[in-house]
Amino acid sequence: MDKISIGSRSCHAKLRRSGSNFTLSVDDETYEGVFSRKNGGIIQLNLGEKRTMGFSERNGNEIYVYANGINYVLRKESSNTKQAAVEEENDDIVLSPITGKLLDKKVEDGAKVRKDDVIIVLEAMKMEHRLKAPRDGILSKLTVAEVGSQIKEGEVMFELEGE
Amino acid sequence: MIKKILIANRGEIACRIIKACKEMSIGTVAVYSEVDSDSPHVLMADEAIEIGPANPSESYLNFDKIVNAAKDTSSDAIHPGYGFLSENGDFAQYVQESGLIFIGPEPSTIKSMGDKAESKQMMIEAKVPTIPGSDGELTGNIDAMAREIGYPLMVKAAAGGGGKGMRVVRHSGDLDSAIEAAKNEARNSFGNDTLIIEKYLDNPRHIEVQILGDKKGNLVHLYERECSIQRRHQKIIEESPSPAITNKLRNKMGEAAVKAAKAANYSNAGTVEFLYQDGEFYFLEMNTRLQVEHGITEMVCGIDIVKWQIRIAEGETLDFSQKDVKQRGHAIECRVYAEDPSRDFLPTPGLIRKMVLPEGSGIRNDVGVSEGQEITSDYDPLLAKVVVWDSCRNSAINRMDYALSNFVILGLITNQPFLRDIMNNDSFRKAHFSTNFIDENFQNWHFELISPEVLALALLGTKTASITTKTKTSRDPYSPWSSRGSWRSGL
Repeated sequence: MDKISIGSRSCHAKLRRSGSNFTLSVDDETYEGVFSRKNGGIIQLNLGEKRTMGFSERNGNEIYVYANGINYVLRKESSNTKQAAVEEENDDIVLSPITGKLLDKKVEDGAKVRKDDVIIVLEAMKMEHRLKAPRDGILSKLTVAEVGSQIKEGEVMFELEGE
Repeated sequence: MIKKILIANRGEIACRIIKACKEMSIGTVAVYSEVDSDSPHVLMADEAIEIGPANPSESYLNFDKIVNAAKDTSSDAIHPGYGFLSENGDFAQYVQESGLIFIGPEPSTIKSMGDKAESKQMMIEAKVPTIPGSDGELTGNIDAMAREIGYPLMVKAAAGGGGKGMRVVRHSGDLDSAIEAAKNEARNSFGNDTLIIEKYLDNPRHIEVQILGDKKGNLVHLYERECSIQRRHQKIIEESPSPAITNKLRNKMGEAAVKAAKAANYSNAGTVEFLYQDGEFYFLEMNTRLQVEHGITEMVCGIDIVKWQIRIAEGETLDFSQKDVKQRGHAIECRVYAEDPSRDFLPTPGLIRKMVLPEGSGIRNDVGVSEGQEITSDYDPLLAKVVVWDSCRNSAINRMDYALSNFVILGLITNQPFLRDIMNNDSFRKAHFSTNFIDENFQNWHFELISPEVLALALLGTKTASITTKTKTSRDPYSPWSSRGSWRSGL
């Protein structure tokens, strides 16, 4: 479960998807729904009887959503570990969670990696942050930044392709 | 003839002025600071000149850089917009002395209206109603003076500001102790214990009148704007006409505004601000520039104020008189700010990742930002003004709610949900409000609980941002985001 918050309010949620169907768990409730992606980045959502058109974009641990005529800025924290924002499940794209120095690139672009392999090591405020592969896959679009250079929060560090 | 205008401003107002110039086939020159190189006003103008670092005093407030840019581009005139140098009489004078046209009133008018004491005295002489009070230092029979003004009244330091040395007195029995306390505070805060007293308005409305005058002395008013919905003493929602006043009072206020403008020897566009309570109105101050909320007046009167500013500066005579000016329908403006209404309206810089503006008949967007733009903490957090028009107030409110609900802006916290809540507030709909409206109704405002649809969207969303940010934000100690400097933001 991820903790999702807006201002001082929060809840725990998890979404499992299979094709265009999804199951959303919010605290103790469960919802079944269907979604599809439309032109212009619009996501159509059918949750029970209700149809919602919206936009959603994520950067680091912030998620920006437009739905039902309201713009939201949500914060997402994984409840597993403290650095969980780094280790999100089902993520194909891994962004730098911090602004800091690139210490090491452990794997080369195109390599096959397994879940939890360390790909990138960053340093900020004298602390090391290890970015791990969120799942098995092929490493692609590894950052071209050189070891020793500065990385900004939200910068794409690498992507995963294939399964 | 003015063939080219330099716009000494940025953001939505610079874009608004450039649009007017383009419609009039007048050339445009934008000026910009280092952090603004990709801002919409820079891209819209025919020419653009960089004038220095983000810090306003080194760019947008710098007389020489602006005037030199105007000379280098062979501009004929400078339009100051609002904020920055728009009410700086010395700048207006410098522009004129440099052989350029300043689009605004005469420097002497700007200077005298900028002095609160001088402008109030001028209005008293012109028989424009002002807030009753002691004209100078408190002497003689204070008790009698207080009775004449009437309670409640305000005791405040003549040198004051920021709420220091101020006391509201509701009963004559409390007057002496309030004076004593205010004196002590004034002495400690300002080193000067001179006090003044004036009538205190508990639940005032802020109503202002737009005026327009040419250089031949023809003056008209374009009726009023109701600007009572304010947070931190800054307007966020304005409408025209005001739902609070009768036609009789409306005309009386218009006439008083024209009288005030005549007394100030006014030409070009200006605004006379009044406080209104219990059927009486009092002169507050005169703004010698284009107002942020001028758009609602344009919508109801069908007069383009910016174009007239330019024509008047060229020496043209008004081609209409007071009887030709009619208010038609109802217009509302909402100011969309990068700020967090749940945290005392704190500015919220960030990157605009997606922006879709509302469309439809009767909807006007005055915008000075674009998708992919980083909103830094260097300047005022105003992102856009949504202005709507409809035949009556209720329809206009509905249209505004529709427009706001179709304003997509992702990537940073804005007051968009808050503005929608105001549109749907009962007291607002019934027009029962004063300048205390937000404090009284939205003291503990929160973002609404996250609905399942929003959560599902959040967890289904694109996991990355295609836009990379630029690191150009300066840590400017004079930034209006951290403190209010000598220039005025959000007007």
